[in-house]
Amino acid sequence: MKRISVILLVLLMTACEAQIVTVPVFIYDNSDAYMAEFESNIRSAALTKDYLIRSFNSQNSQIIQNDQIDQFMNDDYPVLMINPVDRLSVYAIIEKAKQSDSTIIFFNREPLPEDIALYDKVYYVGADAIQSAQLQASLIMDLFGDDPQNLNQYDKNNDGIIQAVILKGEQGHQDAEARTKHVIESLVDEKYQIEVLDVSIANWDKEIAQTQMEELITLYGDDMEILISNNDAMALGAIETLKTYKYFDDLNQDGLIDRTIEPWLPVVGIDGLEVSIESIKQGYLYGTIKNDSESMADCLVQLTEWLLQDKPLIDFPYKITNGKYLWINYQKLSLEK
Amino acid sequence: MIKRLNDLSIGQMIFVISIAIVGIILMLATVTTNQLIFTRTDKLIETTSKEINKQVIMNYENYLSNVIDISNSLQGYIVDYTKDNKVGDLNRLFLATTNIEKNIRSVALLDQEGRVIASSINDPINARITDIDWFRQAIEMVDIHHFSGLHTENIILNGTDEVVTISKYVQYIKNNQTMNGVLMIDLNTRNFKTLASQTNLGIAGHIIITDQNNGLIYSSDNDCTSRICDSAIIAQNIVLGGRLVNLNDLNMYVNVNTIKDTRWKIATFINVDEIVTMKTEILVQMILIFLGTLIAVALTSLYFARRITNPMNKLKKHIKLIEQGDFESRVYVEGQKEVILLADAFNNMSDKVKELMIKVLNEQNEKRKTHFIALQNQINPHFLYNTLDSIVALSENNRNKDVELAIIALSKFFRMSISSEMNLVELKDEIEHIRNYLVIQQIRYRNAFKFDFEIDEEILHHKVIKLSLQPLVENAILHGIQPDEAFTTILIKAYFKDGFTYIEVFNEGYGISQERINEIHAMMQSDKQSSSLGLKNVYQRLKLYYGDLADLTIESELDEYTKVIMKMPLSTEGEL
Repeated sequence: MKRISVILLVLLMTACEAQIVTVPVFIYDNSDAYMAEFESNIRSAALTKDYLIRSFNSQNSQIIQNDQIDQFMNDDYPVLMINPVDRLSVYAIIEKAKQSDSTIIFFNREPLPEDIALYDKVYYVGADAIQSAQLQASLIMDLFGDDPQNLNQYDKNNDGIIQAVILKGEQGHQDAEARTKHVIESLVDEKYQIEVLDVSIANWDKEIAQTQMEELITLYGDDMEILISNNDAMALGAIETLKTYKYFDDLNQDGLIDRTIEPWLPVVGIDGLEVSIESIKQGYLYGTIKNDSESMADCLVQLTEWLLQDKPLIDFPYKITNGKYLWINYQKLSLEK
Repeated sequence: MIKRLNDLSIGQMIFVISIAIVGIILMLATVTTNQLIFTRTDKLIETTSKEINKQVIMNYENYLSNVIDISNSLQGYIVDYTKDNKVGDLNRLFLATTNIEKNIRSVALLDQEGRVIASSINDPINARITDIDWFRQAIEMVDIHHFSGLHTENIILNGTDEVVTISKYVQYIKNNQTMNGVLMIDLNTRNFKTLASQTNLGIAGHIIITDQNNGLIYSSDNDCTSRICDSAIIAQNIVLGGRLVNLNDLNMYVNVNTIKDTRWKIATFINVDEIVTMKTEILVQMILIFLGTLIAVALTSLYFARRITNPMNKLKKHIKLIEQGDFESRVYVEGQKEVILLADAFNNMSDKVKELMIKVLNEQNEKRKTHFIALQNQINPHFLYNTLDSIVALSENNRNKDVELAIIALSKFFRMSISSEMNLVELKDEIEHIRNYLVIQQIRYRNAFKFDFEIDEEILHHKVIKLSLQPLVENAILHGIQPDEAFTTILIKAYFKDGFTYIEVFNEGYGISQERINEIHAMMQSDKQSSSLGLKNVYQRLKLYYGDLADLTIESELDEYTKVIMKMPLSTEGEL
């Protein structure tokens, strides 16, 4: 009897010792290139931390994600990182967390403020969609010279008005609406005159943008002074078509566009994908706004560590707004500066 | 523990050990099997239910996201058409939409004050739209679609049909100015009901849809009409995820999920009673089998334990009897071969012991008898009187030599008879004794007979049973003397042949009939007391001492002779 209890005790102790906290990470869809990159950033950032990361692909289905969360929302998992599939469903996840006293860090898709307000132990790490639009506007201002009353040579028809075509993401999508709305508003606020020739909906998709661009070229042709895209994928798709129609022409075949001597059209995107940075270097894409998944991952991983260790967040290296929001800045990327 | 085990009897031990082994093995087997079956069934219930649940939700999501897509497209057209001042086109577009998509009952664009800008509706519009929830919510939270619960159509004044209203804040252009408005789409509820019934949720299976505040939006269960019905409370407690619950005595698998792009939750109640009941049945069956087997094992082991211990106990009792000196009773047991053999061996043993005891007893008796007879013979007063009388007669006749002989013989005869130290004597001593006896008898019977000895010199030192010859010779004289004839002859022979010592006592005389010989033989062998003590006594002592090898036989021819032959194996030194 005594021997059995000793064995049990040893087993119990080893079981306890082996207990390293695992933090589940739920990614809305790993086939989204940006999120795949985001996930690997989280993984590498967490390598130095004393907890484990276990990530789940929710395959763009809130049903799958709910099921995954249902399995992991318990005492064994004090902190969960969730990139929700459907931001409107988040309130149910928060109520669930309340029930099990779990802490949730949402990221990259912002829940409704009323949902965030439901529970104390909820945080959001992400970037402000409006800021991306503001920075995109600032890129455009850089291009056209800093004086709104006296636009430079890129105002091709010299009418003092920027003729723009907008490639919009999904109609009704929060980010698409916000980016479209605020890029224009920011320019208007800075007294730039802008004429939106067309808002073409390409559902965030490169191929759709490529086809849409053909129609836009026939409609507006040389009237286009700038192409503003809600994301990089659509911008790059449009550039492909523009190349075909010689709006970009690598006359000397060196693989680069020399903006002083070779034809080009300013195209701006948002996201800062690796391919976009490549395209900027080659002179095709004028600029993009980097949605900094590296910094976000670092912030997420550090916040998790602090929460697990129960450290007061007053000294947390990233700024915390309203006790719950951690905004990571976008960055302008272009050949300027 | 071990000490306690040692205190148990064999039977208890067999019982305890077999029950323990079988019990533990069965218990393990039952538990593992059950565990296996249960996990499998639980998994099966879970996956099946989740799959069905997914199907249901996807049906609703597809339906609603289709409506959202329509709304998004309409928003694009609203901007385009109002920019170009084509409100008439917008009206036609809305109407076309309701015609194409039959689930859409009506579409309307309202300005911030709730006035209609464009609509597919002919009936008069409700003037107090701004008070209605769906309108207010759209203005308050601009970037999402708002889904109302099921309600009576309220975009028109006297609506009667049940609808779900989807409202969304939109922008439109009026006089080149961007204006805020609300796009509303009324859905008829037919599809909600069809979608619920499309999937088989089992008997009493149902769905309920609630809003974010757990208000009941739709229930396919007629018993559930408010937010406090059992189903709604269960769903509210689960919040999110799948559980097995018991609702109205039925086992249901409940999945609570959100519906994408809405603020709705949907709970599917899938009837899994059959599987759960089956699970319980399996459990009951397994327990029954477990108990049954255990009882069977208990009974069997009890039976076998009894089969071993019962005979043992019988043997034990029997041993007690033997201890008390009872060799008569036999033990008869039923049971395993070994036990029966043991009992048989035991019986044999007790037989042997008894036999030995009887033998010893008999020998003692015989010995006593012999002495008694010898003593009787010795002190037979008649014998002494006759002998003395004969001696007196000899003396009167001045046959002093004969007197001397007779007295010497008598004295030797008595000495031999009296000395009772040895059971075995050398043949020559026995012969000497007989000779004295014969001398005396010759005197007594006034030389009515003659006697002679033919003794093999080599066997003079062979041991023979003491006083064994005297009864034979006595008989020979008794039956040999014939009153009418002067002489009869008694011949005593002793020789060695084939490892046996033979002593024959021969006498002439009437002889004995074969029937009589047989009678005598039978008499000697029987245990019964008999008048002819002498012969029988000799026979019994021979058998006692030498066993079956020795024998005493009588040969006779009528009117010729009688011969008694004593046969004994070469005697080794031994003690009776």
